[in-house]
Amino acid sequence: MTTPLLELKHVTKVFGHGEGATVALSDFSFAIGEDAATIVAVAGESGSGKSTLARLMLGFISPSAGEVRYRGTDLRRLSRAERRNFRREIQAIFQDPFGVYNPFYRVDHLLTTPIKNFKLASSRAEARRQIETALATVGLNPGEILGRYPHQLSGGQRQRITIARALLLRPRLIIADEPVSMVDASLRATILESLLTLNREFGISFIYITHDLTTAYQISEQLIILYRGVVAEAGPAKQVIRHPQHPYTQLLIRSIPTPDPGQRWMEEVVASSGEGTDAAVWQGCPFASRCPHVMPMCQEERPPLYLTEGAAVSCYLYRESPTIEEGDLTVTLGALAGAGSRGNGSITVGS
Amino acid sequence: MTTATTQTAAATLRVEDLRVQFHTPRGVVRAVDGVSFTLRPGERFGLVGESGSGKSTIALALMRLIKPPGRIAGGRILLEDEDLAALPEDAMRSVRMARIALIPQGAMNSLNPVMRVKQQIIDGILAHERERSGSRNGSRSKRDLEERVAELLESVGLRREVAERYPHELSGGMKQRVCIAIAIALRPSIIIADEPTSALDVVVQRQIMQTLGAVQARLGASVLLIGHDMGLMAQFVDRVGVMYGGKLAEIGPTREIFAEPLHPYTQMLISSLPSFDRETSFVKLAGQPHSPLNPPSGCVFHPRCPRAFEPCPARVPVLREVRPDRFVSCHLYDGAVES
Amino acid sequence: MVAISQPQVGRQTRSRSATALRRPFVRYAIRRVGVFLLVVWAAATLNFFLPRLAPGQDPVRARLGTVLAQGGSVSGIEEMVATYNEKFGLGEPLWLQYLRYLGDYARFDFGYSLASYPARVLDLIGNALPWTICLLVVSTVIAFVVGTLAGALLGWTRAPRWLGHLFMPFLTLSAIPYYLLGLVLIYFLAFRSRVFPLSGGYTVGTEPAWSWEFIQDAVTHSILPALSIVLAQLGFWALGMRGMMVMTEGEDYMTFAEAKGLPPRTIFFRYAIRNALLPQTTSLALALGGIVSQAVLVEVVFGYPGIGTLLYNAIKGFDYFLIYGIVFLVIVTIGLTTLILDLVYPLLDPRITYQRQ
Ligand SMILES: Nc1ncnc2c1ncn2[C@@H]1O[C@H](COP(=O)(O)OP(=O)(O)O)[C@@H](O)[C@H]1O
Ligand SMILES: Nc1ncnc2c1ncn2[C@@H]1O[C@H](COP(=O)(O)OP(=O)(O)O)[C@@H](O)[C@H]1O
Ligand code: SF4
Ligand SMILES: [Mg+2]
Ligand SMILES: [Mg+2]
Repeated sequence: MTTPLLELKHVTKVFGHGEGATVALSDFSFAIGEDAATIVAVAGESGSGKSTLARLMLGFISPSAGEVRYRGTDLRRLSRAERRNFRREIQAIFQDPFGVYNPFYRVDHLLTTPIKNFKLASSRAEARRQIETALATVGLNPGEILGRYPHQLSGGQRQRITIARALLLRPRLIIADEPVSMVDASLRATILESLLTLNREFGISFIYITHDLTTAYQISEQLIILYRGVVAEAGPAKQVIRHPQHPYTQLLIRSIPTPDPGQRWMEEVVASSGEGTDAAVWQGCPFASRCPHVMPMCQEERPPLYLTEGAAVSCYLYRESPTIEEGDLTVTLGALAGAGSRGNGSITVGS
Repeated sequence: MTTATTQTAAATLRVEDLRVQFHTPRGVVRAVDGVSFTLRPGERFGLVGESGSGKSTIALALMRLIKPPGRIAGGRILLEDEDLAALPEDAMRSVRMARIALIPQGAMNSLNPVMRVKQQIIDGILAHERERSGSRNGSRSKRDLEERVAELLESVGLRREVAERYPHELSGGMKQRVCIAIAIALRPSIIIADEPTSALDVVVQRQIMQTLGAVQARLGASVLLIGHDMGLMAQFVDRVGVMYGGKLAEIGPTREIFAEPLHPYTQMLISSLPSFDRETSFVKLAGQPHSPLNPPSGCVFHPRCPRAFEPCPARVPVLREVRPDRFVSCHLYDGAVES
Repeated sequence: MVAISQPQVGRQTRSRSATALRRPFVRYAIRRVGVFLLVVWAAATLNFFLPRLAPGQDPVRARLGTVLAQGGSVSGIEEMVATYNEKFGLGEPLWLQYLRYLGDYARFDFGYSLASYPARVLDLIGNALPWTICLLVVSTVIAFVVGTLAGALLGWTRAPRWLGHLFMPFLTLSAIPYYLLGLVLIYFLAFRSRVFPLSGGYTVGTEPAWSWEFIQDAVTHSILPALSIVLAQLGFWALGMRGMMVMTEGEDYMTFAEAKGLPPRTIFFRYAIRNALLPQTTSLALALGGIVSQAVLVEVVFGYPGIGTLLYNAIKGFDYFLIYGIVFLVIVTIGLTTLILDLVYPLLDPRITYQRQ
C-alpha cells in the first residue's frame, strides 16, 4: 500500500486540563490516499469534534496524543520544503466566507496572493488567465467579480471565490468545514456543485464537514458520524443514511423532518444530550445516556468498531460481528461500498 | 369574486393587502407586496419561501418593527378587529409580547449578552405590568417574579437554575428555549416564530419544535411559523402559505399542498425536496430569484415558470380561492374560480 | 484507548456559586499583578541599562561632568555627584550597581534633579502630578462622559432629528489636534478678549495653598486648557460611540428587546448603551494610561505647571534623573490602568471570565 496523503493515527485532542477538560476528539484513526479522488463527509451535532478534526488535519492544532502524518511524516516534523508542499496540497474552506476577506482589498488580491506565494505563474497575463479559469470553474463570471470589493459580493459569490482560490493551488485535498451552512438554501446547491466539479474534473479529494445529513447524502461517497469525539458509524454515505445501524445515526435520520405525513415527527420523545455528563458515562458508550437500547455492558466499556454488513459501527448491538482491530487499517470503506459505487478511495477508519 | 380577505370569520389575525417598502439609494424594494392571509384561533400557520421572499419582513411588520428606510406602505393588520397598522406607537408597545410575541430569526443572538436570563424575562413582564397599573414598580414582589420565571423556564424544559445564567453560558438549543419562555410569558394569543431552528442540529430542532407545540397547545395560541424548510412545515403546521417575491403564491392545508401543489412554484419546491429514497443526488431549483429592485412584469414568477403562457408577463395574477380553502395566485386557474 | 485522567465530556460546566467565582478571581488577580510587576521591573531595568549601553561614554556621567565643571554656582552639587559615583561608580561590578538601583526605584527614590539641585526628583514629580491629574484626568473624564452620551444619541435612530446636526462639528473637532485648538482658544479668549489668563496654572506671584482664592484662581487658569482637551476629545468619544451604537442597533437582541414591548428608555440604556460601551471602556483606560505623555503638548502650550512641562524642561536641560523618573512613572501609569481595566472588565462583560489567558 502506498503512503497515504494524509493520515491520522490514534489521534486524541483534549482541551483544557483537570476538571474542566474537554475531549474533543478521541482515538481517531483515518487515512486518505490519492489514488482515487473521493469525498468523505464527517457529520455530527455541534460540539461533536468536527472542527477540531479539521484543524488537526490542517496542522492548526497539534494532537494531545497520536500523530497526524502528511505523506508519512508527522506534521510537527515536516521540513521547510515539505511544509510548503503541505500548505499547497491541502487546502481549507471554512463556514464563514467573510472571515477570509480583508474589506479594504479588492477580491483580486485574495486570488493573486497564493499565485505569488507559490510562484504558480510566470507572468501577469498567465496569472490572470489562471484566475479567470478558476472563477469560471466555480460558475462565476470573472468580468463581474474581478475589481470588486468584498462588500459588493453576495455570500454565495464569496464562498465560491474561496473555492476558486483553493483550486488555484491545485491541491490534492480540500478540507471544507461547514462550507454551506451560512449560505442560502437556494445557493447551497450551486456551491455543492462547484465542489463536485473540483472533485470530478480535477481529482481533488474532499473532507466535507457538515451537521446536515442531507447535503452529506448529496455529495459524499463515504460518511463518518461523530458523536462526542468518537466515531459512531462509518461507511458508504448512501448505505449509512438509508440503513443507519448505530442508534445515534438512527436518531439523527429520524429527526430530519420530511414531507411524509406518516413520519409522526412531533411525537417521538428523545432524551436531551444533557450537559456536563459525568466521567462514569465516558467510560462506556458516549451515547448510553440517551440510547433507547442501552444495556448494562454499554455503561462499562466503550464499544469497539464492529464491521457489520455495510458499515463500521461502534455499538454493542453488533457485538456478533467481527471487530475492526486496533491498528488494522486494511478495512477500507471504499471496499465496503462494493461494485455499485464509483468511489474506491482508500479511506480507512479504525479505532 | 372570492378573495383571500374573506377566508373565514373566526380569525385571530387578519392581514389584508399588506405592503412594505424599503426606500434604498438604488430604488424602492417592495419586500412585501400585497399579502393577505388569516391566522385562525389555535392554528399553526406556516410561511415558507426562499430567502429574500419577504417572510421576515412580514413578521416584523406584524410587530410594527419595520425600521427606516422601510415602512408599511399599505394594508391592514387586524387583531380582533383592531388595526395594528394604524395604532399609535405607545398602544402598539403594549400589544407586543402581551398579545403578539415574536421569536426572532437568529435566536442565537437574540439575548442581551450582558444580562442574566432572569432579568431579560422580568424586564419584559414588568414593562407591561407597569403600563397597566401605571405604577413604577408594578404589583409583584421580587419572590413572585422569580417564581414565575422559574415556572416559565420549567415549562420550556429548562432547569430553574438557568435563570441565573448569562446567554453565553447556554447552548444554542437552551437559548432558543429561553426565547420561547420569554415569548409565552404574558400568554399571548399569537406567537410568531421566524426560523426558530435554522441554526440548530436536527435532533435539537425537533425538541425545540416539540416544546413550541406543547406550550402553544397549553396557551391555545396561534403560531405563525416562518421558514424555508418544506419538511419542517410538513411536520409542524396545519396550513401553509408559499411566498415568492414578496407575494403569496399559494395558501392551503399542508397535507393538501404536499399531496397536490397547485402553483407551479410550489410544484417546483416540492419536487426539488431532497429525498433519501431517490438515487439522483442533486435537484436544483431552476433559475435564480429576480433582483428585488426590478421585479418582472405580470406574474413575478413567470421568468422561472415552466408553465408560463400569454397572460403571465402581462397581467398580475390575484390570489383566489380555487377550491375550498385552497388559494392560488396563478393564471392557470383563472377559469377554475369557485363562486 | 489513550489514557486520560477522568476528563469531562462535551461542553464544560461551570459552577455558578460565588465561592467558585472568587477563587479563579484571586488566581487571576495574582497573575495579573505579577505581570504588572514584571512590566515595571522591565521598564526600570531598561532605564538602568540603556544609558550604560550607549556607545562611548555613559551620557549620565558625561552630564555629571559638565555639571561639575560649571558646578561652583550650586552649592553641594559636588557631594551629590560624589554620592552618585560612589553608588554607581566605575569600580563597582555592574550587578551590584543594578541591585542598588532597583532598591532605589522600589522606594521611588529617583535621586536629585541635576537642573534644580537640591530638589529631589520625587518631590518635583509630586508637585507637578496633581496639576496634571486635575487638568487631564478631569477633562478626559468629562469629554468621555459627554462625548459618549452624545455619540450614543447620534447613533440612536429614535433620537431627536436635530441631534444629527452635531455629527459634522464632532467630525471636525476630532480631526483637530488639541494643541492647535489650544492655540486658537488662547488667541481669541486670552490674547484678544482677555477673558482668561494667557498661561500658567495660577497667577504668577501667588503661592499654591488650600485657600478659596487660590482654588478659584487655579480653576480660572485651567478652563482654557481643559476646554481645548474636552473639545478635541469630545469628537473622538462621540464618533467611536456612534459607530458602536449603530453596530449594536443591528444586533438581534435589540429587535427582540423591542418585540418585548420595552420602553425606549430601557432599550437605550440597558441594551444599547450597555453593550456599545464595552469597547469605549477599553479606549478610556488606554487614554487615561497615556495621560502623562499626552500632557506634554497641551501643558507646554498653556505653560501649565504639570508633568508635561516638567518633562519638557527636563529634556531641554539634560536633567537625566528627572527624565528617568518621569519615564518610569509613565510606564507605571500605563501598566496600572491596564491592570485595573483587566480586573474590572469581566464585571462589565460576563463573556470575559477570569479563567481565560
Ligand atoms: N480551543 C478550544 N478550547 C476549549 N475547548 C474547545 C476548543 N475548541 C473546541 N473545544 C471543545 O471541543 C468540543 C468539540 O468542538 P468542535 O470541534 O468545534 O465541534 P464541532 O465543530 O463539531 O461543533 C466542544 O465541546 C468544544 O467546546
Ligand atoms: N433594511 C432593509 N433595507 C433594504 N432592503 C431590505 C431591508 N430588509 C429587507 N430588505 C429586502 O426585503 C426583501 C425581503 O427580505 P426578508 O423579509 O428578510 O426575506 P426572508 O425573511 O424571506 O429571507 C429582500 O429583498 C431584502 O433585500
Ligand atoms: S401565473 Fe403563469 S407564470 Fe405565474 S406561476 Fe402561474 S403559470 Fe407560472
Ligand atoms: Mg464546527
Ligand atoms: Mg428571514
